[in-house]
Amino acid sequence: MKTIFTLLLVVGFTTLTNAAYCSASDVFTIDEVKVNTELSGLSDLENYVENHPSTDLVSLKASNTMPEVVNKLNPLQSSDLAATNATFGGHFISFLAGFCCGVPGIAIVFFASQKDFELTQTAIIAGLIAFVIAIIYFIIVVSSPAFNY
Amino acid sequence: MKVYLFAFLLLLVLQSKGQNVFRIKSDFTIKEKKADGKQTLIIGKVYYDINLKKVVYDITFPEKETWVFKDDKLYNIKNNKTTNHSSINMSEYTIFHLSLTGKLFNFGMEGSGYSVKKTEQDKGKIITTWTPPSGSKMIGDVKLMQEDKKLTGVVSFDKKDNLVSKQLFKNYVLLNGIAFPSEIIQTYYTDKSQENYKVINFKNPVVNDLSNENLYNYPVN
Repeated sequence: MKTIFTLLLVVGFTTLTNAAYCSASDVFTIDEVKVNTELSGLSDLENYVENHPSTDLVSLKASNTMPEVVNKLNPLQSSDLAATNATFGGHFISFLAGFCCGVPGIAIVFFASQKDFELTQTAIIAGLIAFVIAIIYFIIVVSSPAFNY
Repeated sequence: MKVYLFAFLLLLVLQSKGQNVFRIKSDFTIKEKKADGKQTLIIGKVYYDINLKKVVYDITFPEKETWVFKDDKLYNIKNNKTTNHSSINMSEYTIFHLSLTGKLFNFGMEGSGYSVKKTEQDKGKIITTWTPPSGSKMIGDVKLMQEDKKLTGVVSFDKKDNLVSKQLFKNYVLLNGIAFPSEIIQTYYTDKSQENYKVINFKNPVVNDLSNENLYNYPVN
């Protein structure tokens, strides 16, 4: 009984110590085993395609190869390739497009990002901010008596 | 004195080496699984020349097609037919441009409008928190993790400090003095904190390839 109590104390202390050591780099942790498990079907398909270089999605479907993976595949969209772009860049440029160009800028972001909700939302908010700033400018500066003189 | 002279010459050599790297090509694979079960597999080659600023994706799977990002246009070439769409000029924010210009270590943050909020050291890693320009309502802080002068992690948040995305940059290879990651592992979060997974692999990266000129400078109008 005494041993179990001591063990519980040690476990409790270790847990507390670990919590205290929670460090700045912990936020970067990704469970890579989980990611690899989730993508294992795609990895198998990747290996198959690499060993059969002329294979495309149509031929895989026609031959009913790996249907459990192939049938869940999405058609290619340009936004998939945006993965190689820095994430913040898309938001920053969307913000600039909405802020500087208003509705046309928002439209460009909407279509160019393949209707990406978050980027379009950033552009819309930027457009609204620009609109509000313009109204404030109009009220304070343009409609002031000093401006009319 | 001799030591200073040697250090100066070494710096000159390293600098000139960095400046001489102007193009990169690589095999790539993008694997993605979304929380709703939808999956994506893209296999192909990518070509980028720092002077031409065209990002050319020569894709072989899921089907043979080419995507060219140039200025504010995106061109899709399939079955000898070209279609174009308006796009955002993103070439300078790709990891290809950032790697070739030696800016990948800070994710191109300098000059982006973001400013440094905090810098910490932890277990040999430098973690820098960047904060977006004032007035931005959607985008929040971005944390970068660097180790051995290489970018190893990026975590981004929204304005309410909700986690948006985590990226790990791994297995760097050294190409003519530039460090290029051969694997990027990403988890990103959509509404209701659902987790999505993406892994990008680069194989056989080559810099300053003088063949394939027609691909680096893919003819699009």
